[in-house]
Amino acid sequence: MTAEELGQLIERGRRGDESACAALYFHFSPPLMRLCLGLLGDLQDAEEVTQDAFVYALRNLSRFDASRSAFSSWLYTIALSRCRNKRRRKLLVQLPLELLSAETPKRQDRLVETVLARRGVRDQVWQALQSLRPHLREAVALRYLGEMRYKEIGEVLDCNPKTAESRVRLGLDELRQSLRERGVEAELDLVDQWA
Amino acid sequence: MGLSTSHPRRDLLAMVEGRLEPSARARVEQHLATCAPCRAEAAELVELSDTLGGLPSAMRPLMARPADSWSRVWARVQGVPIRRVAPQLNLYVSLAAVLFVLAAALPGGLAAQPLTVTAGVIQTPVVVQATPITGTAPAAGAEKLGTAQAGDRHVAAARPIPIQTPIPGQKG
Repeated sequence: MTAEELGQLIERGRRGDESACAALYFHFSPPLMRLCLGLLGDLQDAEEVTQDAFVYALRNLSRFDASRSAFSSWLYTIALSRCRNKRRRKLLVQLPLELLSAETPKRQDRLVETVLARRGVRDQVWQALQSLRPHLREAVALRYLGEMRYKEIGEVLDCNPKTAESRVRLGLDELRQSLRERGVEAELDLVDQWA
Repeated sequence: MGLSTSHPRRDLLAMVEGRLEPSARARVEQHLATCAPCRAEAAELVELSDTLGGLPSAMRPLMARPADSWSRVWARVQGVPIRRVAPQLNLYVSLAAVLFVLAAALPGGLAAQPLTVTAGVIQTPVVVQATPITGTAPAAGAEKLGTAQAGDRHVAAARPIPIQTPIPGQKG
């Protein structure tokens, strides 16, 4: 979708054009859903937040200012805020992580892990992502699940692109450390490539 | 990893993501050629980036088709409340049950019908309102109630008391 097409859809959406709003939803909801799933770790919660964020965004299209941020950044900011609230509410009733890990995972969690494992993605990476500190998890999720550039991540996290990149880098450092603690070592040996 | 500032750690991610300028890339590659810890870190970053970068496509089977949820989203955008039939039905049924019980229990409620001595026997515990009693002969139950007088109220014990009276809403 080109910037011009997006602008036209937003303009039509502001006038209440359902087909334009649907086109925005069809285009942006999959990456938004991935982002929410990465941040929340629960499929049902992710679907709920994705839909809530879109309902808010489509009702408030007139508030979007294209001169201030990309549409995706605006949309992701709305979703991120809801993800934070959702996690905060859940933390109130959650048990300590050590106890949680000893419990049987919920059905939806198992489904996520099963699908990822079937696709050859280590579920340890998924688990490690969930255990990152919040501000780092957000940066990593925006980068790899939202597939955003650092400039856009900066818009969502309200920081400059360099800081966004730094958070992603620190997030990857924590991920590597976490994977190492879980006994997952890097399999690729690039010594020959760069030696 | 305890590396000194001379190690180009900040540039490794940019290099892995292909964002380094050629001159900077050459400088980092030159360093990697002689630094095993940085090579190991770069290798891990490559693998991790690949794995994380593969998550979106790996997640695809988990995603519901946007078309499946659009009508629901659009209804909410337009302010149409989502109808949940089953819970509403349950609420109405529960409410009706509560109202019925209250109506039956309150004095002057459903059970407080004028006694008419005719055929029919009520075999359930009832609240008997003694007024107005119409009829020509005392009923068997009325005898057991003793000195029932107009205006008195007698509450039967919680045991069946046979009273010959028409059951409300029932013929014969």
